[in-house]
Amino acid sequence: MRRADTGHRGGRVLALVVPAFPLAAILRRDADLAGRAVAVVDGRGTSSRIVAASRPARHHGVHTGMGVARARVLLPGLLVLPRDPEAERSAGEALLEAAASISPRVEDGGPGLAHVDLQGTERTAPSERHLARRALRALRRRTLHARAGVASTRLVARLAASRTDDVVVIPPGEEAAFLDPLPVELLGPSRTAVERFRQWGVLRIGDLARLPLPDLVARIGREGVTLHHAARGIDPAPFLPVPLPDTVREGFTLDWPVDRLGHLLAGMQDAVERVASRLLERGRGCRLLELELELETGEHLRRAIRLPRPTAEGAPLLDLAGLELERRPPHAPVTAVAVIAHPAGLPHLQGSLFGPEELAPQRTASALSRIAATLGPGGVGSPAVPNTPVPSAPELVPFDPPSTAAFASGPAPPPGFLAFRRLDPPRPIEVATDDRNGRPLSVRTPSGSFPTFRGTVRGATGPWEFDTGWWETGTVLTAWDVELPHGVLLRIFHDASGAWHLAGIYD
Amino acid sequence: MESLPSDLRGTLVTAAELGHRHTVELRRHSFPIGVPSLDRALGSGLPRGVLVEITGHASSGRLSATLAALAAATASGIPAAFVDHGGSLDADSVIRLGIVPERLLWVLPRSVPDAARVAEELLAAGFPLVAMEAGLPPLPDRVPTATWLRLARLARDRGATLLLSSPYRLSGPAAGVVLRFHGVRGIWRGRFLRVLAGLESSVTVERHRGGAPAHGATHRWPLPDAVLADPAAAPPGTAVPEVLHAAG
Repeated sequence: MRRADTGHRGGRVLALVVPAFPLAAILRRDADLAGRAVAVVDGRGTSSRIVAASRPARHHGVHTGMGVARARVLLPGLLVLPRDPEAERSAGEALLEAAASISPRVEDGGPGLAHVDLQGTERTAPSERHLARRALRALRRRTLHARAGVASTRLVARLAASRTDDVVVIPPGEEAAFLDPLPVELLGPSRTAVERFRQWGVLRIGDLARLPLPDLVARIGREGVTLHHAARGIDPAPFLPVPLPDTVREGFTLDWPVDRLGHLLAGMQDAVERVASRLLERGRGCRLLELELELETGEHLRRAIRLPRPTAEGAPLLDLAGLELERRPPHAPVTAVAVIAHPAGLPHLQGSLFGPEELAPQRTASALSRIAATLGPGGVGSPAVPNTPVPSAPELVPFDPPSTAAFASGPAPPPGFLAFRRLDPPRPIEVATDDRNGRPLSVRTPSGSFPTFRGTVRGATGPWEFDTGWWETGTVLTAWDVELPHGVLLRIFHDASGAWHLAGIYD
Repeated sequence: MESLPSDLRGTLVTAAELGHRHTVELRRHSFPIGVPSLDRALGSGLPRGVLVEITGHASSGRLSATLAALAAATASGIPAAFVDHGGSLDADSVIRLGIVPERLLWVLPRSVPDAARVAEELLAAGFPLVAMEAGLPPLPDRVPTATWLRLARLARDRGATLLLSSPYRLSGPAAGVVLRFHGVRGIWRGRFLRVLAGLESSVTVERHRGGAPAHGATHRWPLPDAVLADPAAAPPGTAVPEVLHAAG
């Protein structure tokens, strides 16, 4: 593992900090809460403590660590919400994703914190400040508001990011000077160490950095080494980059169990839009959409919807999700939802200057997704001819036409062959036959069945036998082609039981 | 030509060149069906930017004409869509008619109004040829005339062809071209063991806003193991043999 990211080795780190992360995750889920006095609590009952508060709430004295009862005394109109693990997971993913748009080496620093290794990014922006601002813009597009700090170590970068709403860049070599006046508690010492530091009069990080290391270790043990290194701007821990998740996930917990599909879909709309927006940011489309539903009974349902072509449009994704839930509704009220998109490359084609006209890939993908949302995914694709000698319908496979640039003109199609119109499923038909040779003499469709045919057979050819399953018995179909008055040409068949069916029409 | 003065030579073209230019221009404005008698009846194939409606009852040849147009388009590299209400497409027909399956989008709507919605999406997405098969009668769900007019306008704006195949007229005044197919008779070959060789149908051009002569044609749709005579190719007054020969 490389260790070039520490202050004394010359590496540079961008820290992205989302303040009050549990609240930021909820505001992503529910934008209407922006500007209101909101507190997010962890735990239940009297043991619950506030973990994040909005600016209007903090303005009235509500702060993290405070009990709910006390906060309500200070601010009776305070809106208190429980933490939303699903929303926090989605926001955490979005944070890492935005960080990865700057450099592929991203470290997960915990809830609301991401570190980006800036090594190798020097030529991608005029300055580190530009890079940091680009990262903040990427976060804003994912509806997250963050702060950024750039320094030679992760700790200094994180502390710099916490100082202001803007970007703070600590030039190389100035880490110690930046840390010097800051309170020693920012290094995260244990309670015992804090007590000792107070007894010794060590209140600022600079005071700690000036203490002799052996004496410090002799008094507070191994923690002294870590704190002393941190105070001097040294970060000996290796940078541990994490891979970006393969999927794009946006989830949320519902305020109360929802048992109506319309309400559920209304709640899902924003999540689906965020998924689509994140896919577009990655330059990818969704090939497979998964829905994870947590039910009031504690069960988890998982539904998968395959799209005909990858798309990064929210509306068809939501329509498909709605169709799927309408087709197989959950059997109990839903308490939490996660929308998971499996990305795939958006279709791109190299057009030809002189060849036939080309379909615009994105527009086609969106249209196909909307059609699939209307008809269901099984109703659209390309016809694939099955490898069977038995007359059959084509199978549907994903529509993915080759580029016209690669088009090689094949043989011209034969001029005007007769087509066969399948009836799927075959319709029952009554047939009178010649007892001597089984030749059809007249046909009649039963009353009430469509399409309607009736008449004397003017010409017939057959029997043609098709074995639909040689490994079983009674699978042979005997077919005849017959002509009725006015030139109507039908294919009829009977199975082993002798029941006649109309397979289709020559048309 | 070579002996003409250069300023005059620049304004003249040979008959062959003129014919070639005319063919290129026609192709730019039409989709040939690939069936000579039908292409002749329409002028140069299915006109672009128009809703073309073909009607006909069972065994009239209208499905064969629709699939022939799709085969001609896909074989020349043009992506096409087949909105197939009723699921009429047959695997053997795909092979027999020479459709390139990878270039064909096949959609299976549940009703004619669904089919119209899908056709609208596909025209808007840029498909140059969208064929919509309405299926067999009865067609219980009616599509308002305003929808057909909207589809026709979309086809015009996109320079695409919407080919509507239906048992009877559906699109009202929206169709720029209307063809009516009539099944005439089945064609059989063999004296003792009679085998179905094809279908003879006639087509009437009932409307053509592009100005093509409103006349009819007869076409014989063969099954793949038979080669049928083209009655239009025979000199007047001569007998046309039923089946020229059986292939293979």
